[in-house]
Amino acid sequence: MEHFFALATPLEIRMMLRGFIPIVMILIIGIFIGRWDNSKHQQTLNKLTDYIFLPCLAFSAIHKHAFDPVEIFSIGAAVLMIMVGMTVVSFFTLRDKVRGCSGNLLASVYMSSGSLLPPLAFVLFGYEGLAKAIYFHLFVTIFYYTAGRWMVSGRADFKSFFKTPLFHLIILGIAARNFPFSLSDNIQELSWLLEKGIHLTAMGSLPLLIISFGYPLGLLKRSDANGGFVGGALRIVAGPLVALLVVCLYRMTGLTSMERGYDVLGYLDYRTTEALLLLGAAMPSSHRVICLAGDAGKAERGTILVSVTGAVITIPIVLLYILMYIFEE
Amino acid sequence: MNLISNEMLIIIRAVLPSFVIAFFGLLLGKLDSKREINQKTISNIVYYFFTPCLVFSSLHKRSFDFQEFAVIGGAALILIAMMTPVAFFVKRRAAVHENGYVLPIIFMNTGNISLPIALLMFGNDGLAKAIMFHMMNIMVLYSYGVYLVSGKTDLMQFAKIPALWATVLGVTAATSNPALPGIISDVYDIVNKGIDVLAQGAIPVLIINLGYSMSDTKLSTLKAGLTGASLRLLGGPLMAFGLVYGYRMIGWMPVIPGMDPLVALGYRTSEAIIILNAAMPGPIMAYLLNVKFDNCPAKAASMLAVGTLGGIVTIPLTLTLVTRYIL
Amino acid sequence: MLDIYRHFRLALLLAVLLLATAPAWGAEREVKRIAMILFRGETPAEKGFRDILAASKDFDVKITVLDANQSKDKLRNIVDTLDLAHFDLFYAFGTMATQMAMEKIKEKPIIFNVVQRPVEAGIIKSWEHSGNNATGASNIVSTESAFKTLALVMSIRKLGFVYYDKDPAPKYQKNDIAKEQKKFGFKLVDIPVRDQQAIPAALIKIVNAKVDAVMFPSDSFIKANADIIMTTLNKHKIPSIVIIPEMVKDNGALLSLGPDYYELGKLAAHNALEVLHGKQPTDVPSKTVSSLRISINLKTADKLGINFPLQLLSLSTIIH
Repeated sequence: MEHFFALATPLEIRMMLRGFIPIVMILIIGIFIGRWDNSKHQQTLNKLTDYIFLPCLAFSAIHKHAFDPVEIFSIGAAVLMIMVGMTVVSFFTLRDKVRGCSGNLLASVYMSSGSLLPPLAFVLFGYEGLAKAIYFHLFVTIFYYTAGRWMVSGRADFKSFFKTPLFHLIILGIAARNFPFSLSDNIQELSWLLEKGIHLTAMGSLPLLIISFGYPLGLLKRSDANGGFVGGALRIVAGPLVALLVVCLYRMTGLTSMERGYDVLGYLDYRTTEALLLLGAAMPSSHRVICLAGDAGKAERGTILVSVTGAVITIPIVLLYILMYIFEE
Repeated sequence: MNLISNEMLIIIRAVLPSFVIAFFGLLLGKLDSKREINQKTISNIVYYFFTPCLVFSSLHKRSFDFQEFAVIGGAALILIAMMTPVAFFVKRRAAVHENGYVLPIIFMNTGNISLPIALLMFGNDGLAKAIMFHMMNIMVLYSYGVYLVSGKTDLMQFAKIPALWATVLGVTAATSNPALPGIISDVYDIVNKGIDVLAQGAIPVLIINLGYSMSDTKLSTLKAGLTGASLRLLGGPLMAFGLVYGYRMIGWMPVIPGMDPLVALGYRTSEAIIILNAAMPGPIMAYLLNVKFDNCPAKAASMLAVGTLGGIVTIPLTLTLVTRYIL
Repeated sequence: MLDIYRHFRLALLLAVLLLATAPAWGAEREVKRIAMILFRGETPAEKGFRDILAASKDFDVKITVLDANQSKDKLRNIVDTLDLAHFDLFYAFGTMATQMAMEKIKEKPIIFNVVQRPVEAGIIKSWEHSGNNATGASNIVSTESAFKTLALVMSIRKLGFVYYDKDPAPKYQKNDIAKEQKKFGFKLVDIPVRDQQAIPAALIKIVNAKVDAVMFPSDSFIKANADIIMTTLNKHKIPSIVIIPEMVKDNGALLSLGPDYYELGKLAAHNALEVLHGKQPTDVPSKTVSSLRISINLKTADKLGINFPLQLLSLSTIIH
């Protein structure tokens, strides 16, 4: 036990908690606002985050990040494997013989990759972590519009994905990063000013995303937890375990090289990708499941409540693991 | 050859990012034809959480200079006092009976528009000074302003202003700087980090909210607010220039050749912030108070709309004059 | 009685063993005298240098410290009055001290340390072969590496570069940074400082330029005036990036990007040992540390609202 903790220094644990605890504080504020407001205006927050704040955050992160198709592919493939793995595990664990596929399945499979993950990734892993989190969320969104919609209505809705502001701003961000022509000084400065406005909005999105996640939780009651223990535990325990398998697979196949070499930053970049995959998979259930599944049943509410409450403990454990076994020198 | 002069670039640098964000709000408003977005929810989040965190975050990390606070806060008070008789004169000439008419003329929108421009043009130091001005403006709005529209002073309401307590706490933290023992210091750092993250939400959400409000404006309603808005946009900076030169003459913001350039920069930034804030249109809170006490809200809304639209022209002009004659 | 006799035999055996090995530790170590020519006092680089030499089994090194206390005139005086015959080897800290030493010392070996651009500064012909009596360790930092690291911590579109105008070394770094502008998408704002009186004007220029961060080279003049510079930058929440790690600890700079000075000192010491063993300095390649070391001042980071990524912790020294 002592050896387990000795691998992460007190300083690293402190730095980790300095990033994580403020996010929890803001989440509690979101829950409080939801309670105060009876969570009547979730649409307001959803529209703000979906149409303005999250797209601006995506653009701001992506256009500063070096475009690497291999990185995008590896994150996308990892997300696919995690989602499929979670679907299979959840299906066999939660299958309701009477109703068939339960809405609780969605709550166990889908994580809050668009509301909690980006702020956490930014605070803990900086701009690189944020960019990877945006790619992670992009692929989760694709899964949401395809498999997710199919699970609920029997039909995928891939077309709607292409209409999302998030998708457009990511493409714009990649294009802006790789713009081939040189601009004159003044035009370049003007473009940087536009970018500054987007960046200010992007930074403003961090607290708003967390608040919008906490807002609907204000309606949940403690008694709701009864129906959601298994689903909630699956989300926050099985999720990171599945992600760990994916990370091991990537290391074995050489997709995330363990060669330190001269360029230590290249090595760290692979480790950050691994860390982000583990963190992303450890996120609690997405509150959007309530929207997707229509009026959320007791099981869905329970799963969300249990996963959020449990994540306060499991996320630091996952982060500790990342510090000790992913980032350790 | 540069298409845009350096001077113009300085102004554009300060206002363009804010316009980009306001444009997002405007776009959202146009897309939200059914008006599903509840502005009160957004305003509450900003009012109770984001703005107080911004105030605290800005003040507690900066060494507190009481003289600077007195000069800037005092300037806000003086400008409000100077504009009051002029506003009442215009109200009498317009044959308006309700006192709510004068609120958007006397008080300034020192939050939505002023704070981001102050940050972008004058940096974090400018932002801190703008916050001091903003605090004095809203304290007088919530006391004297409420009295004007309701006929009574509600000190309990005044005492409930979250940003006020944030100011007190921020100044206390900045001036006391106690040596906290180990774990308490860690907890304090963590809480501060949370506050810093929340503070980042204030400026963009304020501007987006403003842009969203503007998306509903109809040109036909603007005529009623022309006089009041013009007085606010033109009279305000004129009074502020006079006040600044008055400050210089009495030595509160001296111009001494050979003065330490950094000290001089501090004075000039304070002057610029005073003039910038005085050039702001009326505050949205003035409209909300008029609605609350049913005190000519329509005219107030019209003045705010004209003022905000007119500010697109007058604010950059004011900043040009500030760059040329003050900085 | 038997016990006493046994103990006596053991003690006698030990004494014989000690006497047999004693020459290896003391009597046979050759005394070598090194003059340490410093510009601003001892740094961790000198500690690293001393530690390696103190552990040497072949040499008993006596070091004489000659500190110019940040005075160029005093440095000149130290070099001019050096008793060349008294010393076996000369250690010089920084470009200026090394260049001055090389003007006077032609025959005896010079070990330079913390010289950013020894080739450009004319101290050595190449890293492999100096072509003269100098060899040592450089604190050169790969600019690309530095910017890749910075990109993890902050977003920079405008970077101020402040340097002492009379020191030729920072100009090479400035040129290297200028080459990275297009690749990393930023604009360099050049802010040379002539002397101490020009510092306030330079600070005003930085504030008015609305830079996203300011970078400082490995520059003793900047170090000497770091307090006023960092206080102003921190007040205006402008991140400061330095090469000298002590500026993070002592003066509140946000972060330093550079080699570990202690490691550099050790490298210089290894070169010194090779020379003391008889190798010509021109045959001892000059060295540099392979990886970047980051020091970050957490208090300054909190004040500036900077989040420090966890993945950099393994490369970093955190100063509270």
